[in-house]
Amino acid sequence: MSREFEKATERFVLLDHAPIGQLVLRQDYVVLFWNKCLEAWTGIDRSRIVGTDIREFFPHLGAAKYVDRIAGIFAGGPPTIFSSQLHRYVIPALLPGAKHRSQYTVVTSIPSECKEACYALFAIQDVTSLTEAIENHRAALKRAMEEMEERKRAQAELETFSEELKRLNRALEERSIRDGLTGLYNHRHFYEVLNRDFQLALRNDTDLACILLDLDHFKEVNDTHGHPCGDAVLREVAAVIRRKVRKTDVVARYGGEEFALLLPNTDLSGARRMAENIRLGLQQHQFRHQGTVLQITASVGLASRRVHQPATPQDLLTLADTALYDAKSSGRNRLRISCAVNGEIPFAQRGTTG
Amino acid sequence: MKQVPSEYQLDALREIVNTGVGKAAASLNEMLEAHIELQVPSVTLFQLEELSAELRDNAEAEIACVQLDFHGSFAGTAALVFPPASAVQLVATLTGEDPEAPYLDGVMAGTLNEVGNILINGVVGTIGNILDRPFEFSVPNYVEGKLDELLQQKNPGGELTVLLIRTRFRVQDRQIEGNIFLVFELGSFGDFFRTLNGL
Repeated sequence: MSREFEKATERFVLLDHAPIGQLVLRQDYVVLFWNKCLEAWTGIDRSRIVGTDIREFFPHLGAAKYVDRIAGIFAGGPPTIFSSQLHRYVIPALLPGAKHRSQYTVVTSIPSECKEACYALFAIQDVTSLTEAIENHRAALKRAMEEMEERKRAQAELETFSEELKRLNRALEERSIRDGLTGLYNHRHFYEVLNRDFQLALRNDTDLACILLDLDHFKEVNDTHGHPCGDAVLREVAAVIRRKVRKTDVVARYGGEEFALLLPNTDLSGARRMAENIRLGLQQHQFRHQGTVLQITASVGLASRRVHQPATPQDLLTLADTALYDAKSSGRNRLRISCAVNGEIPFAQRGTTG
Repeated sequence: MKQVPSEYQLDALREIVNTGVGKAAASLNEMLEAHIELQVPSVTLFQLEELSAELRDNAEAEIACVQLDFHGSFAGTAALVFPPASAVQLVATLTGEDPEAPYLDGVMAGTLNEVGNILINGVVGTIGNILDRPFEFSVPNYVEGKLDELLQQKNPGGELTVLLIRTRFRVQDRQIEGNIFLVFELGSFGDFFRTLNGL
């Protein structure tokens, strides 16, 4: 080690006790002093680097952005700052996890041994913890944003799911065969059974009767006592009908207050007894809803396959409906039997109250 | 002791300031990816107590300031002051951070310190070079506070002459303003202008 470097070590040895990285540079970039802190940070011993051009170890310091700003220091100019934000580090020092120490560096001019030029004293503060605190803050913010996004996404998914559920429910409802209010078969299912039983009756040459039943003045029940009461009445009517029919009979809620029955293998007189039985049953029944007692009657239409000879299932239904209309227009609370002959209503009977 | 500088002195001063700010711009451009365009700075002289009304508007606001003391054939403090909006714009531009980010304060000090250091050194270093007189400099100091307090803290109550250099620069379409105050210690301003005469 030459005399100049020995003298520098003597002069700057106090800097070994500072917990900041410090080095002294000659105008030609030769390192004169390298303190213990820098040894620890970089793993480069003082004995290896002193007397060497620092750019051999750290070539990036040869870049204009450093050289131009350090040049003034050797001429005794004002101190130069290299912040961690704009440079990260001046002397790369690895931390566990392959991260560099963030550094805040101040370069000041100090008197040299010769008069012409000054030395540059680098004081390098480790600001990693500060930098990390800022980065943690930033990461936390980012996480919070991501969580919010995630929540939004989950919410959207849930909404999609709920839409899908609604759609499935609608589909299920369509496929269901029961009326939600009364538990009777619904209109759609009634049609299916009608078609099937009609064909069966044709093939086996058995009888089939269709009864349509409509509650009289039901609108007034709803208007006077409210829909909950009306619904209760409908449920009760369904129960009355169910009690009267046999296991093989099919009962459906056909419309609002209209009910339809299919009686397989039942002749006209049997069907008439059944229809009359139901009509009387309703007439005698006391409907109660929250302290209100109601009397309900029904108009009933009946058609029979064998007697009235409808050509199609739809015709059987139409004949029963016409009879029901007849019952309504001739004073309600009564049973009317279709007057069709060979599936046709004789001209003389049309529009009359037969 | 009021000084009325001659036209010659003022011209010399403007030239020094132009050179210094130009040097600073070159340094900034070299260091940052962003191109920085510096406008020709304006130079005004006044007593501290005559601080213009325009600057007074900012007097109550907390501002960021980079200070550097100098001692030599004359002495004083150089202070680069960024109006708050400019400080935020500048730091956000240089670091690529969001100007609204809550942690911007954390990256502010270091960035402003360095940019301030470059601008002050451009001006003060050029003065030192041209006058060819040895100066001693303090370590640059970053402080936040009110303008009055920042300018007066070195010489409370004294009659101070202030040389105000207003710089404006553009970085990536953002207009940023920075004011360099050279506050001369009592009597020092006369020395400074006598030195200019000697050029």
